[in-house]
Amino acid sequence: MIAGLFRNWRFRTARPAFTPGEEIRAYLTAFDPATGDGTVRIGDTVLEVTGAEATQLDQLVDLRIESFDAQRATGRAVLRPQGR
Amino acid sequence: MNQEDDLRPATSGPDFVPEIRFRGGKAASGLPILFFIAWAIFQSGVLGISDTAGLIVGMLVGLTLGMLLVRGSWTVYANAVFAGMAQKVAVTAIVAWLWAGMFAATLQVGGFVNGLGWLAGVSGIGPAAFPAVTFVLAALLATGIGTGYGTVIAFVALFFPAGVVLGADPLLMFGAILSGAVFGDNLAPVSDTTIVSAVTQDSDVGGVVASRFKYAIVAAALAFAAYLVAGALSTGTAVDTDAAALFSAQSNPRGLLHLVPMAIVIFSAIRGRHIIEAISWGLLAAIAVNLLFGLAAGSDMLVFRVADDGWAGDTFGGWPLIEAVPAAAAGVGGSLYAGAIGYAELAVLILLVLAGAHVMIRGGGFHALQEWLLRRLARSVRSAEMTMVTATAAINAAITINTAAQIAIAPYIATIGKRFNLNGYRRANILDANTSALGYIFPWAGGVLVGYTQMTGLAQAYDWFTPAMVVAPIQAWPWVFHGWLLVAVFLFSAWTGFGREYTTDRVSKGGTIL
Repeated sequence: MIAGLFRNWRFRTARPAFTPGEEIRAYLTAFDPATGDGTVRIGDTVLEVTGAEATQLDQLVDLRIESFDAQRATGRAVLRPQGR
Repeated sequence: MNQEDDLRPATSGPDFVPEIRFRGGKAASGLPILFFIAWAIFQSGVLGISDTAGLIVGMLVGLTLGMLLVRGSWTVYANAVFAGMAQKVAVTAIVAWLWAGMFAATLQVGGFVNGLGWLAGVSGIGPAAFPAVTFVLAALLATGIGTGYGTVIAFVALFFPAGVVLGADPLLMFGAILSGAVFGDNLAPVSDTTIVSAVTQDSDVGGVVASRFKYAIVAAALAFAAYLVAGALSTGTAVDTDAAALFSAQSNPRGLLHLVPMAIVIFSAIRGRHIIEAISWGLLAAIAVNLLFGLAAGSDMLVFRVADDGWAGDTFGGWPLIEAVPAAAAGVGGSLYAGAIGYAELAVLILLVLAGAHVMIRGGGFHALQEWLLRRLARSVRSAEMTMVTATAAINAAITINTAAQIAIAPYIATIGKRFNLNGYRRANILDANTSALGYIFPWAGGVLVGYTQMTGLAQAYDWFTPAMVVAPIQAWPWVFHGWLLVAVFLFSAWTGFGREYTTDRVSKGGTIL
């Protein structure tokens, strides 16, 4: 409990970086029904997501990072089966 | 305590469709509240009349004028007024005032302030340090019992007069008490605002408390230092030497026996007892201490004053708790009566203010305001967080009970925060801190008015308390250091990313209450 009080005393970047192969859980923040492409925005980092559905908009989804450009804070990710 | 019933009817999410249509559009739904704010500023700020009942009339007139602008049936408007007044948050606040009012008044007649005076004398706490010490103790009490309003009532009744008569600046004393209430409302696990912030942002109460500690303690440390410095720089109050001498002569260590009832309230609240139960145990203990140690007579706590020229006076005069008095003085009295009834006017006012806020929600005024604030300004995660901080702070200008303000804006904070994948703890912390703070800063805020109401009664309670020692609501706002610093800490955090957490860092434990 005491340790919890002192957790996360740090400055977190506006553009978090990820590495290919990394598995993350995040809200699907946009979905284009015309193309079937989803977007996950984490801070000012933007990930293009394939395999998402319209019903998953604003829901937590599990993703695997496929590629990431740290300079531009953009990348691609693919939906993976839901599971904790 | 389950707040879920409150979350649905009072809230307008981003997909909201207004139920009441106004001539002049959605903005016109804000007329009752804006009229009330203008009335409050004119009455108390310009004319210097601090009369709660006058504010009630201002809100009534505002609600009536608002109805004239409604398109179509006025019944929908009238129903919104009823729905606003029937919200659980209003009842929760009023219940806290009534019980805390009885408790504080009973400690007051038992001479707790005289005990504090004795303690200040032997410990050497001077007027310079008194506000800083008061801030820490108020923060501890508020964190223990989870109600900032109850803390304000108790401390204005007990610590405020002791500090002021010792020479501490009344503005600093009132500011320190309000600051302590902000701290407790923000951090206490049993606080309504803590629970609402957690529930609406898919988080557990334990998680939000642990994660917000860093913001609260940084602001509190700075506020403590600020009260020490301001206390040292302050010239204090020009206390009448007779008043100081009278207070000194009344100093009595036995008044400190009332630390036992206070400890019982804090302990019960921490153990998870309902606030009514916790304060009731403390109240019973305070009555027992008064009677057992001769600190106050039974009739000081409850007395039926019956007319001495009638049958009842002849029959019951001289019975315990019954006094025969001239007919003009007949009535009920004592600390239980005065402590509770002192809040009757404020209770009515808060119900009406919540009705006005509800009209603005149902009429789409809030929706329009929040959409503009949050959609137009939230372009990056930094600007999104800055907007979340300022919007939650500003919402308290219209909804003066901080819990209610939080409920109104919670869906927007959730929506915008999720768009940037801010996790539930970060969202809950932004939501709670800024509503907690401003709820004790705006001159018409419930937390400020409740303290003022208590303060106006002090002249009747103490021979040495003079009207010049009363702090008007309009004077208090610059001195609520912890409130301002908490907002400043969050603006700093939004700008720099201090404490920021994304869902990819960790997902909050959603949905589990307590």
